[in-house]
Amino acid sequence: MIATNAPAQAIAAGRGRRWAIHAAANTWSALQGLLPLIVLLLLWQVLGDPRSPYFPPPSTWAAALIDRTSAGDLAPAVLATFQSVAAALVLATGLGVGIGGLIGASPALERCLGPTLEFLRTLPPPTIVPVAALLIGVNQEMKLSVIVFAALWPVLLNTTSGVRSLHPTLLEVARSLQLGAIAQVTKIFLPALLPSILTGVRVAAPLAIIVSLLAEMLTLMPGLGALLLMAQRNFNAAEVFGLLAVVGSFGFIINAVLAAFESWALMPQGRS
Amino acid sequence: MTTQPSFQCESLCIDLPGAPGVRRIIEDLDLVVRRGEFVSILGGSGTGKTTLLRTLAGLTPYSSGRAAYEGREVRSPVPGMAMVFQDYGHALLMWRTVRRNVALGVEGRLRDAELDNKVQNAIRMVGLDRFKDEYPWRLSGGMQQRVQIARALAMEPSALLMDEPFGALDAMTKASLQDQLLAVQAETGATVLFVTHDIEEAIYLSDTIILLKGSPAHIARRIRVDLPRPRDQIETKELPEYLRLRHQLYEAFRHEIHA
Repeated sequence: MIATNAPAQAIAAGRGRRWAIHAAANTWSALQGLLPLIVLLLLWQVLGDPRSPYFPPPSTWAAALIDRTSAGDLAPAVLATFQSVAAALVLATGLGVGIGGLIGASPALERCLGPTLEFLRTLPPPTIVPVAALLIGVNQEMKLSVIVFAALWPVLLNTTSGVRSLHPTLLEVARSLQLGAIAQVTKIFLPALLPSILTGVRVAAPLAIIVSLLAEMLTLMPGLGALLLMAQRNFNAAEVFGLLAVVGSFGFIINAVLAAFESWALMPQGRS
Repeated sequence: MTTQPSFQCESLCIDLPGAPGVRRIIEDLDLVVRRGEFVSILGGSGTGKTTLLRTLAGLTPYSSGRAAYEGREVRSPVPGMAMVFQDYGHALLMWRTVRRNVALGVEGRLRDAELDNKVQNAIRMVGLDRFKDEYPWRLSGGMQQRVQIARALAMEPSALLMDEPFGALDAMTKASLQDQLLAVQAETGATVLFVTHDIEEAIYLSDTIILLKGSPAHIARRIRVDLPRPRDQIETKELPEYLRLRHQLYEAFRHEIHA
């Protein structure tokens, strides 16, 4: 590594500043996009009947959520779901990049694994839950495996196609500079694949959230999905809508964080 | 030390797989390149210039005969050689600054101070000091190609292999990079193998021009260029010897077109 010095730090600071401007612009356009939703909720609040058993207005949702919070249910549920989603995304990214990279690099491996992977990929994740519950039991490992199973494919497929579309010149540069295998992967291939990998992760994130909630609903393991199902069974419509809003914000925030990370990570490549 | 050649080919044959089957690209080629010599490989498109260079760089295998660098057979990329690709846009790492691109071939093998020194020196030789902390995608094509040349120079190669390095550049940038390359070669004493389809570029730069012809290709001519150095874009190109060589080479190509 080259010793850091003033110009390099200036570059880094410049990158931070440019990224901050970029992020601010993104936030503003995201808020603009939320405008119709906000208008709809306001209308609902104004026009809705607070005693309606089916469509209680937003203020009653808040009350229901506050009840849940004071009962000490909400925060642990959000945390449980978040932990499952985050851990599964990390695992799915690692596995997807590893397997996808190998398949992309080796046509022989693709011929061997291709049909099997294609079969597994088309299995709807909800149908995996009962099988996984039988095989692994109703526990965190089962939940995590099912989410990873669903979130793996976008990362894997994007990595594979990313490897295939690496420019031949880049491969020859790696060879002609006589870098070791590890240096080739870490210095050339992974950074070159970063845009493809991050696209895969962004597609995988909503899938991970969906399957996490689904697993919680089917097994009543702690999490937002279980809370939601219980509220429905108690015919507590205000709480159902309130939890739905929490789930929506949860997904929105995870997606926004990933988008911000993507734009920050790709800034040096001039791709964001 | 004996005057061992830098590169040596004996009855070299190269075959490449193609859609209808294996095709012979180079047949029975003999070549000797002295140390410090500037040799251009000249030929029309599709004659196998690049294939020959890539074989000498250890990137493309050969079928029979022998290709050697400093007396040792070339089967894979060899230390001491550095390759410069035509396609600078894909040969540079766009996520690394100029300085870190130049360091790519030598980092991890040297201590920080020594590395910094070599990288700075290579960047100075191609005149990019002011841009060393910039990203390549913010630079012009000519500057990006200079970054690639600096990356090769940082490895302090005894041989530079260049595949139409100036082919994608405009005439003025090309002329300035040619002069820079000649200055670098004078400073480092490196052997240069230079693939081009530009007759005047070949004459201006070279000590020897190898003219490839035919399919499969063989060496049709070997031309010594006895023009004084240092060369000058205006004066050298007005010398009678330059004009004679230019005439001779265009004549050779005219026959190829008619044939």
